[in-house]
Amino acid sequence: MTVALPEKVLLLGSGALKIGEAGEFDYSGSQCLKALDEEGVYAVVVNPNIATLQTDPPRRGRVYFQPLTPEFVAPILAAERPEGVLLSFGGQTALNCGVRLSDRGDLARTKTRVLGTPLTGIRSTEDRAKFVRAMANARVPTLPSRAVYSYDEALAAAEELGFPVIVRVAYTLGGRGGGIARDRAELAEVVGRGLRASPVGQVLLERWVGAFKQLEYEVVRDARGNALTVCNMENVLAMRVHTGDNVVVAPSQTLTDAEYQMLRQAALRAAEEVGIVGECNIQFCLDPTSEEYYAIEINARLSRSSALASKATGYPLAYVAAKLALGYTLPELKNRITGVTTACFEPALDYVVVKLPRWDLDKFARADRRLGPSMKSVGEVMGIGASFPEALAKAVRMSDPRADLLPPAEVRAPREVLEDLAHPTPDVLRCALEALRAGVDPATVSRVSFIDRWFVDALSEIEATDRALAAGRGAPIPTELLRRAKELGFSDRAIGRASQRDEEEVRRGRLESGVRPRVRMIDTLAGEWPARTNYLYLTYRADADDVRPMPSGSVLVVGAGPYRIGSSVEFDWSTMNLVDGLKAEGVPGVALLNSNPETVSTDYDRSDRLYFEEITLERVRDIQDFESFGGVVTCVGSQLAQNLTPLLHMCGVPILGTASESIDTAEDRARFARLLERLAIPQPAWRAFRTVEEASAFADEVGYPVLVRPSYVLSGQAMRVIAGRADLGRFLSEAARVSPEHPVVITKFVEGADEVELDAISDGERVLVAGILEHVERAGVHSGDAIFCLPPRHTPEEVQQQLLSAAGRLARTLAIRGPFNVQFLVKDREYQIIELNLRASRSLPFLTKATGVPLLREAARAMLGRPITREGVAPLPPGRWGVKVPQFSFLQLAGSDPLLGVEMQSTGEVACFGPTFSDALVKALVATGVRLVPRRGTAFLSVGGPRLKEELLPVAERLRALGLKITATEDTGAFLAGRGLKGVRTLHKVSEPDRHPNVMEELDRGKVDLILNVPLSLTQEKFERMLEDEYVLRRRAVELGVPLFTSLEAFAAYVEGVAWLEEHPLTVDALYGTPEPGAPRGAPSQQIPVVPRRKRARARRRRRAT
Amino acid sequence: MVGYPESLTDPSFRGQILTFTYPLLGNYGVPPAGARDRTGLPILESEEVQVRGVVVRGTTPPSHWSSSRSLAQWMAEEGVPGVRGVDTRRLTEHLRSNGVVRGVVDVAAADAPPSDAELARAIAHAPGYAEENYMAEVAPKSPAVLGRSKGPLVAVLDCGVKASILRALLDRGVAVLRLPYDHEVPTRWDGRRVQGLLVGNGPGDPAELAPTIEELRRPSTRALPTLGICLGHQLLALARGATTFKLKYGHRGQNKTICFADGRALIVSENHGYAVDARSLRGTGLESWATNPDDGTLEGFRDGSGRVLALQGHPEGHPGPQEASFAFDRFVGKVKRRA
Repeated sequence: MTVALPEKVLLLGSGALKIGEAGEFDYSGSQCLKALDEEGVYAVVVNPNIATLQTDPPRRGRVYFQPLTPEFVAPILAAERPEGVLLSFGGQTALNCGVRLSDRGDLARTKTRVLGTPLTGIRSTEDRAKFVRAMANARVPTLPSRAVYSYDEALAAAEELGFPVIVRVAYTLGGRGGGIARDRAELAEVVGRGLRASPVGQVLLERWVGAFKQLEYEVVRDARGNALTVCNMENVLAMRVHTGDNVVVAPSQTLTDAEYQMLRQAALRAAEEVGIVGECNIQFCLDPTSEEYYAIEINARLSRSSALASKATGYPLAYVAAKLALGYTLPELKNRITGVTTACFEPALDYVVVKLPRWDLDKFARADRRLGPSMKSVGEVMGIGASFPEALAKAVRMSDPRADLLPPAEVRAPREVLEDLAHPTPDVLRCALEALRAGVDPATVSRVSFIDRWFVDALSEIEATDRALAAGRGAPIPTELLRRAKELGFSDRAIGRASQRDEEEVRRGRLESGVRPRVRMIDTLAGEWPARTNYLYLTYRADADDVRPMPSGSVLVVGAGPYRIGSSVEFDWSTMNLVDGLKAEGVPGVALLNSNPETVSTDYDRSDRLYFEEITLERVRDIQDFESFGGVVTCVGSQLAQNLTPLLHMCGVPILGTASESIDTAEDRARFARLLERLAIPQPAWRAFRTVEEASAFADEVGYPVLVRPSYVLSGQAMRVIAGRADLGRFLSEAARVSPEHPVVITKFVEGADEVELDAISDGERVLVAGILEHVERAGVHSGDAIFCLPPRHTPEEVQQQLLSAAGRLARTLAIRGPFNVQFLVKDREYQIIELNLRASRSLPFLTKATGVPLLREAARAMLGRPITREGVAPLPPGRWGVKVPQFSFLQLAGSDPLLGVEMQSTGEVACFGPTFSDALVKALVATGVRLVPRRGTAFLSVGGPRLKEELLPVAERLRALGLKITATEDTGAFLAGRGLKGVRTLHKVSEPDRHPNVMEELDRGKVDLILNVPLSLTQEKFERMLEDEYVLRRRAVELGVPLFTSLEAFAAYVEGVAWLEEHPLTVDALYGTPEPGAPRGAPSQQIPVVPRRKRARARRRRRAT
Repeated sequence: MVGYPESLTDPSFRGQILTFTYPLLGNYGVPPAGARDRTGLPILESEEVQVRGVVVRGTTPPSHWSSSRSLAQWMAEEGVPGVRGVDTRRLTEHLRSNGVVRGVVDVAAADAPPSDAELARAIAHAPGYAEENYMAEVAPKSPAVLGRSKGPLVAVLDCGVKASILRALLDRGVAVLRLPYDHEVPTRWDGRRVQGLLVGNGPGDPAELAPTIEELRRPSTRALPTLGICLGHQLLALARGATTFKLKYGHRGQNKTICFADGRALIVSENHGYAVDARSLRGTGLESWATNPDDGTLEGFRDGSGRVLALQGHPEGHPGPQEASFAFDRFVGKVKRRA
């Protein structure tokens, strides 16, 4: 059959990474682009996510860094006139945007077809009532449920269905805003929250089936109606935990053939009814004691689960879905992994896959740690093994190399452990192991945890083996026991700890006994057909390797592991750009190591060989023992990979790039300080301490505030700015943050300084500076949470020259070969260096895209010992401004405080470009979901301390001039009024609900459109009452979606942007692209009506409140 | 990974040592001994474990509400030995390139394992696969009518047919006359007219089943609406003068694709090492209906009149997909129209 291919299509991305919508959509979008490119289709990509691979300069197409809202996409449609639009590769964001484009008539007006699953089908999966009807037509049972629009309706429905009920919110990601209600009080809370979170003011009540098994099927279907399921997956923590936070195993482990096929056939019928063309994910719940089942939901698009299923099976779902959307049928497509068999088949797995989420809840002050129907994890990993314990143990180490599944030798009383087990947190599996060790029988563990007995039995086996190792300590470990432990996934370190041995001794012993892992291939066919693939994992339950080592001189690039706070899709971008750079430089073979299924780098055909494995010393050495790589690259995979550098170096593994000694110099505070002194580069006063007393004396000497941190940190873990002596003592003694083994470093914290970063590539002689980035916020906000501006707005030229010179001296002295990043403080035309990272930084994709200079290609040259081809500062095209804005996920993390500080909290970022700073900033803010304040809206200002109040004054005057109403706290209001600002209304505190007008009341009534809250002190220990007050306010602002700023500088920039909008249209331009086959059409600047008129905004909010 | 109780009781595997590519087996245990459905058929595929041995990478303790015993207990009760701890991926690759090979599973005391030489001797002295008469073990000894349906009577030439195939017929409201594989297909039985014929799966080389092929050639048999499945597919082809051959890579698993002439494709369960030569259909009155997209081999045929329908795969699933079960609907529809 010949397919009538469109010439040009529009692909919507998913925007910034947020909880519930992360890097998996860079993978699906990139696969889609690969498919389009193969067919010669011109692809127009809209995605403001600067750190993605899908927004790299395209081979055939154009890229827009614009918000994914109809206001911004409609002008692109009008200018580009694509024949079709693809909505299913950019998560819920793209789907919602597409639905709204259709509702507004933009698609019809521009004659743009939706490719793939038609909109009617999409709607029948998004609207619960339509969904229930569709499933009934398909003879697929659904849970009885009621859609409600108010609390009263909710109460009636809950009483009919019977408590507990689960509340779900229409059109949101990751179950955002939903929850379980066991009684009326909980119902009021959850329904209230859900109605506010829902864009259509609707929530759904359902019978609670938390103890049921939770199963998912990934269905592929073509326009002819050919359909199959690529994979099924089982959620180990049953229905009660959101699948995004669940431990997921593929294929299902506790289903019979009858159950498997019953659900599979239901999934196929459902996909048929909905009219899926491409891919969808269907979720079921199944009674663990009968064959009673219900369909829970359908995602009529690529999803986190589909990315996982692709990696779990080797079946490229997004790629196939894109081809099907273009009109191909399944039998016409080849299985990409085997190259010879058809894509119309169901993969056979001869291994077990375990997905484990990565949570970073400890990074969020006050966040609720309990797992439930709302997703809280920020990333995930996937362990592959020949048994469930092996795959699980791998996944645990993948999620955190220091993590340990095994329970402590000293366990708590069974009752205490069971209490914990009944309320799952990220520690739930470890807790189950602790219960087993405490002597609780497996049946009870299963009953209390809702974890199927099958999985509990597997945990028992792990626990028993750990005890067996401990029992024989002292004596040599019998080979049989050693082999069993390795087959169950024990690391050498875990075996060492149990048997009281050194990790190295265990490794030596096991290699002498011939106990080593084998390299296995994922071929989608379980070996039944000869397939040569490059998708590999290691297992101890195998007798032979499936492949031979790569050609001599090949290189291993270590990836960045799971997405987490501080390490996200930007490092996958660095990893892949370096892989491409090394290939282009003619390296005989480039292998890749990563553990994160949500990435492009784990797409098996992007490198010559993919090891889907742990990023641990033990595993890299295992792989190196087998491959004998000519070099290993650890500088593009974030701090996780970087931390391996000294260890690998000590084990004799050749490191490609900057030498381990240099990295040690940069990361060891004392050595680094000596180097800076020698090079006459200024640095803040600092010292390392082992006792509270010494620390306190130093802080007194340099003066508060001080910055306290341990060495070797990523994303500011456990860093804190301390304002006074009492706080210092308290902070250091709690959780034993300082000890002789773990010294802390105390640095003088420079207040009121600007923070500036510089990214560069060096070959040891020459330096190519990618750019100088200025933070909009003053120092004190983590670099990952700051708004970046390019080029610098405030940093004087002469200071910039000094920074370049300092970077050059560092590069030559440390013989840097590859990427590096330097962070500076600038105050009063003086600079100080605060950090040097000898690895690819978070900002590299932003600079590469803004300048168009392929920085990592140069880095690849440098790392191979070749001279780089450019020097100096990469030029920014004249008239181009770029602004990077962080994306936060505070709404998804119930209770978390949105106050920014030295600990990173953002989950993603966007960047937009324009002819002015304000143009780029406003677009980038809108792209992260920040609402623009309506004309004649109301701002609420609350700023601590006289200095900041002084600085606030001009900003407040500007707001007033823009016609906004100003409200403020008593203090701030009195100050502004005292300085002659007219019409400032004072609102009373949260903690004084009886005094009116009250800020909380006004906020809840939708009468506050913009909030600035800069707390007085940088510490949270002081003034607890007042701080508590402000916390409640900030939290409510997050829940209501009211724009909130906790930094005056960012707020001022926002106000400046709003003022700019009064006079200027926003620009909608592609950043780059290739010529089109037909006549070139550019998108002119457009007037975008992004500022809502006051009336409309308020009416909308009122509707929601009811 | 699902479907091991069904596979182990599938008479097609009679006399074979079965290995599984999935590294874990026994996860959901085994239903109680003698469990039957409402028609009196065993809920698994036959009355007993049919394989002679099982080779797996690992087993796990069972967990399922429908389970009454572990896989190991079941096999011990049935006296069938198994081996675990074998790298079955390697074994699969070996079987893939060498075809089905002869093997031996020996049960011995842990402290007195058999020597390699002893094992080699055991293999050398074992009868060849083709030398054994499986039909004597899997086919019924005498005819019997199944089901109390007053609907039309369908004869099944039983060469080791799976219970699920019989169940698929009974579920569609027909009565089943179960005949030994070499039995004549009567035109009437017990006063009722035989309205259709099904030839199902079974062990062994199709070319060895001369009596069945002869029976299928008889004009009165040829006049019946007929459905062939798996071995039945091959026997019908042979009876009409087509030929079969041994596949380089057998089709075994629950994930096989068959493509129909109109562009539709289905996933089916398959288990066959022989295939019908598509070219040999010429002049037989049969036409190709479905093919395998990977190696182009024949997956189904029909005759010009639409009376004969045959699939190489298993429309009944058990284990595996049941999308092709429309073949039963079509067949029973024809039978009912004729009646």
